[in-house]
This record gives sequence, C-alpha cells and structure tokens, in this order.
Amino acid sequence: MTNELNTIDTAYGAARSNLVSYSMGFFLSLILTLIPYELVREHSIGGGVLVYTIIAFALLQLAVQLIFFLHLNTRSNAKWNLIALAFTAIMVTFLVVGTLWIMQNLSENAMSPLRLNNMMDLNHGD
Amino acid sequence: MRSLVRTEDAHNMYPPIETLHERQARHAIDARVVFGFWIYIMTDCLLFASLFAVYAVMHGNTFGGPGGAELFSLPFVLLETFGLLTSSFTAGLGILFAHKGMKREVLIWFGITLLLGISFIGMELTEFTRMAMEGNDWSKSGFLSSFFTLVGTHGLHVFSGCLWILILLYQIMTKGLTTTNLRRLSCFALFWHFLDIIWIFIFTFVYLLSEI
Repeated sequence: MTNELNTIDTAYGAARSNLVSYSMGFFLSLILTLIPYELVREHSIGGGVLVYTIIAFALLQLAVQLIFFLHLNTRSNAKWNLIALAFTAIMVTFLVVGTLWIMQNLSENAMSPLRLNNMMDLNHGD
Repeated sequence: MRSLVRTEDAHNMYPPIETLHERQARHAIDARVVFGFWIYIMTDCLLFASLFAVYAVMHGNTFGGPGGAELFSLPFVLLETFGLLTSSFTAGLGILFAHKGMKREVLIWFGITLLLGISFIGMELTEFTRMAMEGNDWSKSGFLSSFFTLVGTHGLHVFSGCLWILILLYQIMTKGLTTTNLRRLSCFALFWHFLDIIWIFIFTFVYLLSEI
C-alpha cells in the first residue's frame, strides 16, 4: 500500500506534496521578500554589500520555491528533472555572465563621440 | 483490491476497476508528460535569462530620461509580489485537493488563483500605462525598452496562465477530475510556480536594485 502511494506521488514528479510543505514555502517566501525590501527601504547597509545581500536573498528564495513548491528532490523519478535543471543553470550562467563580460569589454573599448572629438582635437594640435 | 482506491472520495478520480498493468501504463504517461513540460519550462528559463542579460546591459542607458529609482514605486511592486506569491500558494492547495479528488475545493482554490493572477495583470497594466502616460514608454530609452520587454514578457506569461486556468476550470466543471485533467493541473501548477520564481528575480534585479 505504502509503496503504491509513493508510486502515485512520484508519478507526478514535482507536482504533489502535503499542506505543511506548501505552507512552509509560502511563509518563508513572504519573509524572504520582506527582508530585502526593508533593507533597501532603510538603506542601513552600504551600497556594495547591500547589492550582494539582496541577490543572496533572491537565491535563497529560489531554493525555497524549488524545494517547497516544485518539490525537487533526488528521488529516482525526479532525478531527470534535476539534471535538466542543472544543465539549464549552467546555460543560464554562460548566457548572463558571457553577455555581461563581452558587453563590458565592448563598452570599455568603444569610444564615445565626445572622447573621439577630443582625441581628434589633440591630434590636430600636433 | 483495496489499494486501487486511495481514499473514499477518490473514486471519481481513478477508475475503480483498473488492473495494475493499466495503472502502471497511466503513471508512465503522466511522468513522461510532466517531464516533457518541465523541459519546456527549462527552455523558457533560457528565454528569460537572455532578457535579463539584455536588461543588465541596458539598465544604465537612460538617454537623459528617468531611471528606475524615479519611475518605480516599491510599495506597489511589493503588493504585486505578495499577490503572485499567494496565488502560487493557492495553486499548490488546489493541487492537494485535486489529488484527494475533492472537486469543489479544487474549483475554489484555482478560482482564487485565477483572481489573483488577473489582479496581478491589472496592477502591472496600471503601472505600464502610468509610465507611458508620463511619456516614459518603451521608445524613450534603451533602459525602458529592455524593462518593458522583460517585465512585459513575464506579464504575457501570466496572462496566458490565466487563460489556461479558465479553460481548466471549465473542463473540471464539465468533466470532473479525470486523469487527463489531473495531469493538466499538474503541468499548470509547475508553470505557475515557475512564473513566481521569475517574478522574484524581476523584483530583485529590476525593482530592488534600481533603488540602491
């Protein structure tokens, strides 16, 4: 009996769990939204640290939602879901970090019209 | 034979007479469909990742126009966020009742999810029209183009999610909690939770970071 119930549960992979899990997830996600909101409103921490702090809260929130709402785990039936997610995470990292890296480089090497004019003026001066 | 029916009220959900072989076949289909839908969600993640990357590159290019700090109202966005988080929770409750075969509760909780989804879209459209009326539409600057594309694409997903629940509610009302409808509900719940996660990142990277 127990085994068969588990089969039904895992058949829906990520979609089914109990009330406690959903309530915990809901409560935690509300808290993890309010804290960074208050931090930004109060501005009590310095700029650079604050940026990393609220990004950390977003990642925590991601973990909470994946575990309590999407019920990702390492059970055999959900393993492929997890592998697909890991692959996507790698691709997303490449995409975002790669874009920022290349665009940063381009904007450093590109010359604004103002700077170009200044350079030309200097050259004429020679 | 007891194991064929999980609870007393589950009889309308699983056919009462079903051999073990048939049931295993059905579970195999369910697992495959849900996994396939999960793969779609992963590709949607890549779509949003590119839009986030574009926003990250463009967010400083305001072209002399206003930046995020002047345009966004954080309390308003916080309310939107709470609405979406709650709708994700009510969708989860709906799924719980669906697995117990309780049709009325399923209709109620997914109905609430639909209402919260519609109010989210309403709030987002209010914000967009306010910005556009003040002359800050998507053609104003690179920053605003990428903002409207990113947040608008999410809003479009929420809108199609709302249409999806509407159709599902109708199907559950007319046909009951059939195996097919349960599978659809599972996929919908995955989609809705996923939109919630995307919104958390929009809330953090677009709205909160603009205030720092």
